[in-house]
Amino acid sequence: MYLNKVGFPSSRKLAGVFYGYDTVVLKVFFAAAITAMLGLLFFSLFGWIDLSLVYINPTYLTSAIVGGIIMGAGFIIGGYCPGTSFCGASIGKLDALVFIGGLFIGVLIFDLGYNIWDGMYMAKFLGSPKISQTLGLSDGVFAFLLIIIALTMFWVAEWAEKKFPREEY
Amino acid sequence: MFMYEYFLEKNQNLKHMKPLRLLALFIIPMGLIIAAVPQNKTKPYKLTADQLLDEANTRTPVHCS
Repeated sequence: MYLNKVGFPSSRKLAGVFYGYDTVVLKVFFAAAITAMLGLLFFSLFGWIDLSLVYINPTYLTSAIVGGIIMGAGFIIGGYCPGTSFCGASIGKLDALVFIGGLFIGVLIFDLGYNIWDGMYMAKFLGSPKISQTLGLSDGVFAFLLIIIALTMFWVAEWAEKKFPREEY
Repeated sequence: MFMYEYFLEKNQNLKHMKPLRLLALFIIPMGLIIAAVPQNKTKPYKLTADQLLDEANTRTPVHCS
């Protein structure tokens, strides 16, 4: 319902981020990320959650880069990410259904050809590093820096929306 | 009604503020607070799964070190 409210079922919303005329997707996801980050840090501060027990996805650098390029290309060509495609499908959008079909075909190709890209998939394993540890900062200081970066990005995004306007769609 | 809209409804003076400024108004002070807290203040919550079971079985609170 929330995703529908901000217009995610429209493929033009996500494509708009790349062209600069609509950056709602960027703002929604980044605002959610910094809110969740602050929530976790405050929960940890109050002793409600032990962050050392929170699972961090391990980093496989090569597959992260290759996967990022493939996913990014898919986003801009299809106009959806996996989450927004299901939002679109939930209100009956045909392009979203086609995108989901492609998503499953991609999963199938990856699965069937796993032996071919196994080496690349598992290459450059870095463990579960945190940026704050890598930079030698406390989690709190890094969180504050990320908030400033996010707010700056939102400001630039709003500037881009004015700079590259598109007619109402 | 969404919480954000409800909040604005209750705080009319914030209604005309741009969303980005409103977000910054709340989130920057919270970021400053969390940045000012020393890392070692974020203590782990007391329980492992075994400690949880012990606490439930003995009905005695377990204190983490």
